[in-house]
Amino acid sequence: MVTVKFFSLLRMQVKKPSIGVEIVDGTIRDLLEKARAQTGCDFLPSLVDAAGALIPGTIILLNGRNILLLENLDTRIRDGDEVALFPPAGGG
Amino acid sequence: MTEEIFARSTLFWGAEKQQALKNASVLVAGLGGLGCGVSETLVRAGIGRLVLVDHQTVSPSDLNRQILYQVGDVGRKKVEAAAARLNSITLATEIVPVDVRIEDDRVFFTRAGALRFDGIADCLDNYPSRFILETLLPDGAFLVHGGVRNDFGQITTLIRGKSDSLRDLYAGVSDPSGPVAVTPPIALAIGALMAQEILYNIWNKPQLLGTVLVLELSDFSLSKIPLRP
Repeated sequence: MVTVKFFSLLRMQVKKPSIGVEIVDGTIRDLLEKARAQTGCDFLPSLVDAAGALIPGTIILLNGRNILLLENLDTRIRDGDEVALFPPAGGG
Repeated sequence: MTEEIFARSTLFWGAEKQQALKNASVLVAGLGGLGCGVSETLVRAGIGRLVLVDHQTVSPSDLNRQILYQVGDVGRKKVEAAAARLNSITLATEIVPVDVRIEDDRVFFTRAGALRFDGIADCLDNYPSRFILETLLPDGAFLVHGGVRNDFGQITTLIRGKSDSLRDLYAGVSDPSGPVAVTPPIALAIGALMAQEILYNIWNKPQLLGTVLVLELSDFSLSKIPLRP
């Protein structure tokens, strides 16, 4: 089980703070697809563009590490991982 | 009178911590909604010295959340209006206004580098400026970062060598084009929580080092995201 946590704008969109996703072997990209199916909320267009690249505006943290410092959307995940989808607030 | 002003908070956290605040100096970068809330809270807590850094003037659209300014301050330099207001509260804090753009990094570093401070309050309103600001952080000093948008916001503490940089944490993030929506309650709430975390840092007990605290007023949720450097 991988825990996916939604924050701020995404939490408002999905209307859930978190979900547990059953995934044995896969990537962040696979996880997002499963999370979309499981929530019934198509939040992916605000995260990933038509070419499959991450859209600036949301950070994805795998166990507290920005996936852009790992293998981006192709970063592999394991059972017990925690993934945070967080569009941070930039204003002061 | 000074002791009497801080009597209620000293009653809670004690004379030793109050003295530590009196000895401390904090650089507040950005005097928008967060910078105003952080500065006023720290002055009322009894901070010894505040260095205020901003280059903008007060606009009417600032008045919904920037609590140091009033209608009569519109058009005035923020550092000037903020210093006047902060100087009138307790008389116990030395206020050092610095009118400079952080993006003019050479000027900023020359001037800010000459100033003494124990930590930085990142109250800026865009990521490129934040990434410049964090490079100013001396070894051992703390940076408390805050950000707000709509009715949510986040806070974390950085200490060089002990946490990821903002540039790494926020890799891939871009600022929205145009003005950012911000409500009065979230600016005040995040400003107050940043001030609390600054107190913890001054007392060498940061609570948000390696953790992002997210406050969402839409459902009053307060969440912590653990970070891994």
